[in-house]
Amino acid sequence: MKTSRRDFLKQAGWTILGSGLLGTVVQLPVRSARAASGSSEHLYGYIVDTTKCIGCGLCAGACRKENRVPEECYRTWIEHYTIYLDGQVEVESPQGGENSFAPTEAKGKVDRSFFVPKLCNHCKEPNCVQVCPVGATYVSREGMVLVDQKQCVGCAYCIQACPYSARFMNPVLHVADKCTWCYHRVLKGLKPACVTVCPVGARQFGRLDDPGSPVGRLIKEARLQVLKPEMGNEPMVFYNGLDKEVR
Amino acid sequence: MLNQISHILKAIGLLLLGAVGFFILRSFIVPDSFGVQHSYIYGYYREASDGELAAQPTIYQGSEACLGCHAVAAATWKEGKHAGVPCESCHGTCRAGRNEAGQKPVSDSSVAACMKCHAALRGRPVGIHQVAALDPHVQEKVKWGCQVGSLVAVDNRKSVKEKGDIFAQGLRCVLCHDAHHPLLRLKEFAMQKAERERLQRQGTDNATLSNGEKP
Repeated sequence: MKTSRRDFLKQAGWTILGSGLLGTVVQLPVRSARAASGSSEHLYGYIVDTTKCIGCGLCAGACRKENRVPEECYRTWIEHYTIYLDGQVEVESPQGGENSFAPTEAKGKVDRSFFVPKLCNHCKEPNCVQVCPVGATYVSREGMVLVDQKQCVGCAYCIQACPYSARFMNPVLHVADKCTWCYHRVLKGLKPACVTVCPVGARQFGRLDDPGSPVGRLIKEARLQVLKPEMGNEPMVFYNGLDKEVR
Repeated sequence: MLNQISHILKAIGLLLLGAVGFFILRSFIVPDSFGVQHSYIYGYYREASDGELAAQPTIYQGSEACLGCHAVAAATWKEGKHAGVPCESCHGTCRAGRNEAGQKPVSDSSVAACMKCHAALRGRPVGIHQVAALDPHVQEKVKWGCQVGSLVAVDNRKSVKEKGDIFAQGLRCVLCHDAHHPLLRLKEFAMQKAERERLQRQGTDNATLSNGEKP
């Protein structure tokens, strides 16, 4: 049987059309089923007690080890605030406070001084997720804001969008990187590495609905604050003893 | 008329072909589990990423993992001021007796390691015992430790001024302070000191007694 070029192209066209349509029809219910399953709940909360923090930097070091964070990048860091009587505010965080702080001379009469550990706030309304053009950063079912490193194209929109500067560009993988609240540990029932090593209990983590964990109760009852509430991101990291000068 | 319809059909056919081509390409390019998982604003992602992130190995194990085997150290630790300071804060990471490099963990017992928490810093909460480098604590207590315990490795008979930087000569906090229970050995020192003073007093008493007895 001899097929003309015209017939061949026609038949090929119909075949592609048919198989494509079939594929789409089969695929649609799969996708919609996935969309219907599960929902994102913010199951966890994190409390930072700035009245307890001693600025030892063990948390930042543990984070680097646990998550293989590249040098000079920080998923969590500690800021040392000094507020002078004349109202001048000094903030320092050498090497993210990872190697603690060197005793320095005060530049005047000190009114108050304290340490503020910082990390990703795992917001309920995260800017970073909303701006991601490729769906690489997302809110997991447990309420953690995560980065899909395979999907990320490294455009850095999320890094600009974060009001807390919690994100950075990973210089090795060339993708956005940030604190995951140690997602891999939490799912195994462990606490995040920073919480595990804090010698004074300045960092606490737990389920909001777990009566055995004080975190949920404290977040409901204690007089805690969040960073930059005016941004409307609804952070899930809560601070005790937060000074008005902390940004 | 018929000619016109065939033109329109050709256009429609082309459009359909394009659409099908798009869907076929899309099914190759878009990862398998990509889609809306729970919300259109925040939950549009590749579902397999959850599992990939969760598969990351854990390095820190928490104090509970240590206490089962290290019962003796744990008992001391629970009694002292460092109770509640997690094992891995000082000992480093450990899983079944090995650190992340597969070696036995070596605790950093340098002065610098202690000073991470105990250096006198502006803004450090007052409840934390703080030591300024070479402050009277070191000058007096080291001398005192030497007198009562004779445990200090460096030559303490010289005065502090003569010795200069005693830390540089290998003197470490842990020589007097048990890191598990910082005040434990100090109690021993105090008892030894009391015992020594008692003996000394007895000695002088005996001397006076013997002196008095002499005619």
